[in-house]
Amino acid sequence: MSDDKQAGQTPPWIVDLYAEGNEQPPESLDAAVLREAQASIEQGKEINLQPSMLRKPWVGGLASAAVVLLTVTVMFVGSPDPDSLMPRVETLPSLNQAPLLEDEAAVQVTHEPMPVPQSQLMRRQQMSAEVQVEEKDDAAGRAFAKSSAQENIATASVEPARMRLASADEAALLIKSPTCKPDYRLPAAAKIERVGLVDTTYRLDGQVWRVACIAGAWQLQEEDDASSE
Amino acid sequence: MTQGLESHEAQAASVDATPAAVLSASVSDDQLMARYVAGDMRAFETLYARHKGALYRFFLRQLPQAQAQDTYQETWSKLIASADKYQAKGLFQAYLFKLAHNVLTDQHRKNMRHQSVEVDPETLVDPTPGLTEQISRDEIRQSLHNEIAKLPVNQRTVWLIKQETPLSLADIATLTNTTLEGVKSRLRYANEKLKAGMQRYV
Repeated sequence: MSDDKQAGQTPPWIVDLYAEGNEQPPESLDAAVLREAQASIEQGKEINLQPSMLRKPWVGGLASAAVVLLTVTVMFVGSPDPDSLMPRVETLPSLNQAPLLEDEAAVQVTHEPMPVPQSQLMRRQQMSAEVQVEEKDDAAGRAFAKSSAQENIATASVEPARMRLASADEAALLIKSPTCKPDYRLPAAAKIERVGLVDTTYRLDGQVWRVACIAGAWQLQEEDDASSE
Repeated sequence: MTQGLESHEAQAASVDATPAAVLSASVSDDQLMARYVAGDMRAFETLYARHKGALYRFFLRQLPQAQAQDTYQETWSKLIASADKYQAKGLFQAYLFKLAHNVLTDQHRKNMRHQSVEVDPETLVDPTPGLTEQISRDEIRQSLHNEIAKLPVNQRTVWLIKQETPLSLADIATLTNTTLEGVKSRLRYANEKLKAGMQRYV
């Protein structure tokens, strides 16, 4: 008797009925997974580059010079000014190659405090300029949002960001806002530090991040431990 | 099994109409993983597009939507984190669903500690019996989802993997940490319960 017969056949009409469901994950999930996969690639490139060179000093003067040149380039590109340490705002490739909506172009944020490759320098500089403008709006937006939140705590009528809890004592990875779309999904390993009406902080790899929905776009900023509540 | 493979190929082909995507439809999962480990993001995108639906539905049929999405993401995170350790043996989907099964098991344990419901009650629909001709296909499918949700966890898991993947019963036994006979038994009981629960629509 075949395995399937022993296991009992599922009627074909039930198989077909089930297959018609075909639910797919939401865009926020797709974006979060692809973001993480991309970050893993870029982390892997940096890990593979330096140790292998350092372990092989016998490669020769040319290789040593290449390492020095690369290191200088990396240091220059990744100069520790506030903008370069800010996570860059970028658009992620859509799976079906459709152009991203305007809102989506603003919400895809990656955790990339490490220096970026030379080929992406121009785009990073452009994004840096956009982040500077958003920083100014952010301060004003925070003040406005905070005052509004204090005035409307009972009704939460001004609620730029709202954390949805998966269970009573465990925060979800998804941040929802009526004005920022798609929903912002934290990396799977992130730990929620604080939940607020207007912003939320979380910790990832020892770094605390603050997420807020300001002027229709997700804003992500690094925070010092001393300043996080 | 053939139907499942065709579904995966069709899904991969639908991702993009460019020649690169057409070529990627003939590339195996193992090859895509190897390319991703080598730094090819497009390989991961193709791999993701092939399997995201099956994996998502595996969780969606067993957890409330919020938890299903979180565990779905966590599974991919684990895959990404262990990509360089993946051994190409032609069993990528078994590997993926092994990770998924472990994440699901952990989530069930958490839910038991917090006494959370397994499936969102709002998704349960009870169509009026005896009025088959007036009930839409969507409602019948929702009834099937309800019946699936009522299955014991072990039976439901095995049944869903059987529906969503082309994996053999032996592979399913391995990834669910049970025996071949155990899988057959769970499938048999699951099928019996589903047939009984859907009898009114026959």
